[in-house]
Amino acid sequence: MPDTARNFVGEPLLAIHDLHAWYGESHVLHGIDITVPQGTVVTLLGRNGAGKSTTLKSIMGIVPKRQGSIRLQDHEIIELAPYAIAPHGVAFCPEDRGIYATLDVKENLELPPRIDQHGLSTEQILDLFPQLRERLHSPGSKLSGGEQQMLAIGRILRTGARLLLLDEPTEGLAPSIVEQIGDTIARLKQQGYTILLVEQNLRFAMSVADYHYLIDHGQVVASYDRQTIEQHTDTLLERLGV
Amino acid sequence: MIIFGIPIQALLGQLMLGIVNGAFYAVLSLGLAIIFGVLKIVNFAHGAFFMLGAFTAFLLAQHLDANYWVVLFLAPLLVALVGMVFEWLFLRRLYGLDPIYGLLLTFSLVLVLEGGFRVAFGSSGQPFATPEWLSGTIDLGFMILPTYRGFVIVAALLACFATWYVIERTSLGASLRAATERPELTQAFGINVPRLVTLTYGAGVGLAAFAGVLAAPIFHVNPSMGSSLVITIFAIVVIGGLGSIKGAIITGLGLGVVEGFTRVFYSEFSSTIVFLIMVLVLMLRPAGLFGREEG
Repeated sequence: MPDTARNFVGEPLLAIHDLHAWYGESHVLHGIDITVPQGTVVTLLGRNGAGKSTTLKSIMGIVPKRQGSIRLQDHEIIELAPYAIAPHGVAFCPEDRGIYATLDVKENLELPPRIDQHGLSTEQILDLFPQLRERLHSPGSKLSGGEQQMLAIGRILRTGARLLLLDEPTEGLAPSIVEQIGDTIARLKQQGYTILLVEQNLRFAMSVADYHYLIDHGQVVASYDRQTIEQHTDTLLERLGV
Repeated sequence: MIIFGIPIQALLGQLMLGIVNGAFYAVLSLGLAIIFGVLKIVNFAHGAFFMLGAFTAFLLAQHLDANYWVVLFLAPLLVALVGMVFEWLFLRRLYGLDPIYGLLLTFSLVLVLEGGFRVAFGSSGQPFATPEWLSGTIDLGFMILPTYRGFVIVAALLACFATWYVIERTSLGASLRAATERPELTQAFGINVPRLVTLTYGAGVGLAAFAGVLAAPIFHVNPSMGSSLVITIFAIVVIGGLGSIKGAIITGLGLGVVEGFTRVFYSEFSSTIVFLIMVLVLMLRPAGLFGREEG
């Protein structure tokens, strides 16, 4: 198995080794190995139910049972309580965006505690996503899908986390919004953020990411960099069932 | 003036007394509602914490000669502390299990607390003096209101408002609402949800204790003073909508008044009316007057 993401120079920001995860009796991840180099965008590709979202949730400690190793900046975080993981510099944007209906937009935005002073201010986030400015006091439940996604991404930029986990940020959004999200991801990368992205949309993934992992049945079955993925596009489209 | 054969003075008088009772109901059901909202546990021990508040006030006043103001704030804090220890040692082991376990555990706490206080103080009750400067009366024109009852209404409404304000208008309240809505995701943002849960339980039983201190000069301080009240409070929380802050406050006050009026027109029915309303609400709006229907 070619593991191109491991052939980079320098320290990995995130290194997952032999990660297993269970929901009750059902064994969902069967020994995932993933490396995310500092300052890169990495995607997890795969069909529905392959274990991509579970991988992100396992990093955040919100899967009931996990085993293996998750190292973030050389700290083993798999044993930590769920609330103790974010302070190590990681922030999560869930697949359903995770916007709280009982909080207004401003409260949603300012909910996650800051973990260092480099996070964006509320003002800077509103400059990045001007659509949110006029909705600041609307309840989270009244936002459109695109606005929810902007809020969900904006919210985690406030914390100062340098590793962002984004679970299908483009799912169900209009092409113009997908483009805006793509631009945002590119800009974040330029600013030195590291992003681990779950994506079903291969074209979108190829346009933003440096490395890709293909996940199937809870395991990594292939990995690609910008060059090698071009040669495998057809097989990948087939394997992803699109 | 006479309405339906009842002098208006009698009506207004019962309205006032209804508001006093409603003020107690509001503070008690508010505490129960925030506990249910966050812990998803029906705190059967709520009445026992009410009693514990009254007894703590009684003991502080008796043995430490503490001033009423000190007692009014210190007793709820001490009881909140007891509640937090109880949550931390016992209650948190039951989260995620069938709610019946929480009910059984909190019910057992009622038996232990009430039994313990009965052994120590007997069941007849201890008098608690109304503070002197609150012991007069106010002439409202239609009735003579004991000053202390007026004070109870104001203090209870202030406690309700303060609780509502913290939950709806502060960042701590936003974290609390987030933890209520999606505890798991809220933890992923780095918010210590278990600690919030402990604090919530403390705040909820602290409110019950606050009501207990307010009640001490009106009722005799006795071990079973909470158990008669708690059933009515449960009915009120169900009518208002489980976990609804606004619902608990408004329904508490409203039902106090309804009870008061019922006492004028058909007094035999006044202790049953709340449960009749509960049945009607459950039939017509199962989520309660202010509750959100579960999607």
